[in-house]
Amino acid sequence: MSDSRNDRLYKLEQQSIFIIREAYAKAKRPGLLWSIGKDSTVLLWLVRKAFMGHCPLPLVHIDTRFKIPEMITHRDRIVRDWGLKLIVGSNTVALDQGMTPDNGRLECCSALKTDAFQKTVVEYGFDSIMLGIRRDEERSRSKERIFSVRGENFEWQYKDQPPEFWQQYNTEVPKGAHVRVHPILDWTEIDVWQYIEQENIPVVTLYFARDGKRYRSLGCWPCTSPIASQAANIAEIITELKTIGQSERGGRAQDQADRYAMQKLRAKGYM
Amino acid sequence: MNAETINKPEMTVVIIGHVDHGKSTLIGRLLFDTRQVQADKIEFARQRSTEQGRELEFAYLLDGLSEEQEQGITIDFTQTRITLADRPFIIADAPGHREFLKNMLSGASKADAAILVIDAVEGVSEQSRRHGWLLTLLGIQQLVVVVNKMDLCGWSQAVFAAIKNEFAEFLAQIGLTALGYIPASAYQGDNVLVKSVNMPWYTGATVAGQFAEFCPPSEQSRTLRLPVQALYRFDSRRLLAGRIEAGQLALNQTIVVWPTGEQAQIKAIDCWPEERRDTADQGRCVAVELTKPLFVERGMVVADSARPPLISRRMRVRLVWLGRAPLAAGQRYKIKIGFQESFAWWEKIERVIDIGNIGEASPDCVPAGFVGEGIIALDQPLVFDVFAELPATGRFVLVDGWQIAGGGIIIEALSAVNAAESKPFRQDNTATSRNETLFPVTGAVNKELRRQQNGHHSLVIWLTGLSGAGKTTIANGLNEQLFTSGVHAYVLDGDNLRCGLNKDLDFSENGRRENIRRIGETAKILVDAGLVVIVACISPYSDDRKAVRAGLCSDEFVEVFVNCPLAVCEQRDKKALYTKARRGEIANFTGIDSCYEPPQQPEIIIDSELLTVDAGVELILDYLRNHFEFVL
Repeated sequence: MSDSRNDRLYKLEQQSIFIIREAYAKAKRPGLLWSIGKDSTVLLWLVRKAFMGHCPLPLVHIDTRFKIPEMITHRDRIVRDWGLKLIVGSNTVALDQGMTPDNGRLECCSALKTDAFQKTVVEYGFDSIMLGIRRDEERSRSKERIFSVRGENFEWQYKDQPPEFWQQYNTEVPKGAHVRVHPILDWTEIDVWQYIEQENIPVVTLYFARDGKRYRSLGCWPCTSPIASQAANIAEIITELKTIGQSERGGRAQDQADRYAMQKLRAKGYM
Repeated sequence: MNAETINKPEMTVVIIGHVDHGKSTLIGRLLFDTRQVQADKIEFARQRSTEQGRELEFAYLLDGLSEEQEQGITIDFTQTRITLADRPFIIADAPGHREFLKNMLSGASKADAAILVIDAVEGVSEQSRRHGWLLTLLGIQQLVVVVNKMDLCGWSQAVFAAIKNEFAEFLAQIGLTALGYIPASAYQGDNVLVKSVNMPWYTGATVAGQFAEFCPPSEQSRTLRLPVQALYRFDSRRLLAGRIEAGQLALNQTIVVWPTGEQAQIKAIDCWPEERRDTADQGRCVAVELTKPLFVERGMVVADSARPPLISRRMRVRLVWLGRAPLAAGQRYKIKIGFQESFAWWEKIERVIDIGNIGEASPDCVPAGFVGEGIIALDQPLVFDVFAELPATGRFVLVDGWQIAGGGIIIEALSAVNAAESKPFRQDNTATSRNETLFPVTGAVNKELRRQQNGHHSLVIWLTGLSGAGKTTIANGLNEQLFTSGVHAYVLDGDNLRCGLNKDLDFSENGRRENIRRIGETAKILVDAGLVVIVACISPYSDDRKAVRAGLCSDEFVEVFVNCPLAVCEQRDKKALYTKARRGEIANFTGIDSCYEPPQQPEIIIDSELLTVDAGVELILDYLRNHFEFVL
């Protein structure tokens, strides 16, 4: 058997599979939060790898109704092709009341993402949710644990996190709480792209440059802007990322709303 | 980064040491000097520094929480990728505050090498020593000491030499040697990436140069350890999933599953989306199919046939305690070794390692942040290795409430049974005659499976004899012996059952027969549940005992006649029942006005008039060893 594998990607992949299997073994009702972006799609691929092509847990998509239409098309195609079970959650109350980013970006994110997510978790009784967040995305995520317990009010006690070592995780949660599992926490943006290339994982074409622009990070259309780029395929994206002087979420308006915006959002339950 | 570096194995290096000795600054400096940090992150750090009236604080390139930047400390660990000397590294930045020790451990536990930073002005601190001790727990052998802030001590060679000597002496005491000592100034960049012009007296490597000297861990072991993480059933195939913690796995290889000790071969190693594999190396998460439908569950350990793991209920360990309340002897905690879980209590604290504050270390308990050694006893035997031989299966964590509260390494197994020498209970022949391609229907947990899980046979040991012959005393003695040997046993005592289950029954012949019938049925359920059931009741009628025997399999009923002459029983008369019976206060008393039919062919006869209780118990234990392969 040839071992000309990318050692870093291989180790990351194996660590992620270990975490996914552990989360599944310990949870009563596990779910996978799928944003349709590249990271959670890699996570979905890893889940299928962990379970020999099967996906034994439902996907949860939080639909803010502000998603770029191509994302929804891509979502529905993948769900059909891979035979997945999908739960779509939305904060219909806030939407009916006319919530938009004009009410304030952080307020909008809290209502349409955090609250909708919280409602869905409670409604379906999830005690364990896998998320595709990564340490190198932004500063507060760099401090996350692989298994991170959230209390009944979803708050993140980032100042007092329990230890996690030797592949022993805090897998048990008190009643009413849930555990967020981050199987690709240690991956970087470049790792994700290299893995997508290696495994030939289908991703939304919005990531590839058209007319000199591409999306580096996907979100809601009012708050996500494409970056200037000529990278029209994965190899070009990887080359671009190695030379770029901007961090990944530079195009995400909510991050810029306040210097510690993400830390504040995440302490209250944001993904 | 070019295409070649990417295939070089990546190493994780943790930066440790006392708070404010400059760990984050050192990493920030390395990233900055090697131009491996994005422009907007530098801009962010520069703005924050300017607001505080400082030059660029390199630590702000790492410390991401608002509290960290406001207080100028690292609270939680983070990790950063960096390429140095054309090799990829992950640098873990660990906090130095004692109260954040759990964060430090979370960051350091994955490291292959460590850089310990000591402030040249403050010198060796309590935390420098504590982190040194923790390296012994983490099994990190490669250590480099950086004496930082040399600019603040006038680049003094004497200061550097004194710190080097003091710390080298400490490391020698705990069995470690540093690969090197580097005088540096992370703030000014001296000896970080480029050699210092301020310290011409130092001719060794820079910090960046030292990275090139670190060796990636060699991960080849002949011993196979595959702890079973989960069992999956896909398309009517049953797969054992887990990560190979040591050794390699190959198709057709003979493996042994512990603690049951049963053998099988590897029939398939599954992969997705590609086809199946022929081999799998250490570190790979596999899903394998066995040639035989063995009983396997999460927590069991698959090993090669030549090098079995240890199985024990007691062990000597060294641990670091992180819980809010101190760890105390006699306390119970949940223990996790791999995927096995049990409860454990601290039998004895032998040593609390004094890290500097002599006043804080007491032999009675291990406070948070301290390292202790002692003996722990488990509720049930677990499968493991000694840390020095196989680190991955030689460590454990203790859980207090919901959170991991400590972690440690196994120094030695105490009164351990080498797994290969024990005689595990084997499935009887009926099981092997099954079609091997079919595994029993999902959810069919039966008596056989429960016996395999328990690791022993289940049966009834029926003690019959006159009142006062010693049935209950022997039963309890036997129960204790079995319990301490890890056998799941339970005593059904006739008198006790008459207080509950059978309290509606009298001592007439019919009452006695129904009494025995119920005890027999209860015993049968418990045998099905996988227990060794010890029945202690007079059971005077031979027919009733035969009926119980008939309801069980031939290897499930052991009749023990506790033989004692009536006169001796009457003389003992602990409960004064004979006296009352003789006075006519109790009717239908066995041996007085109700008959006792001694067994014709009991499996065991205990002449309790002549034997001590222990000797009687030993007769039964011997029978169990010889006839049912009990390990006692």
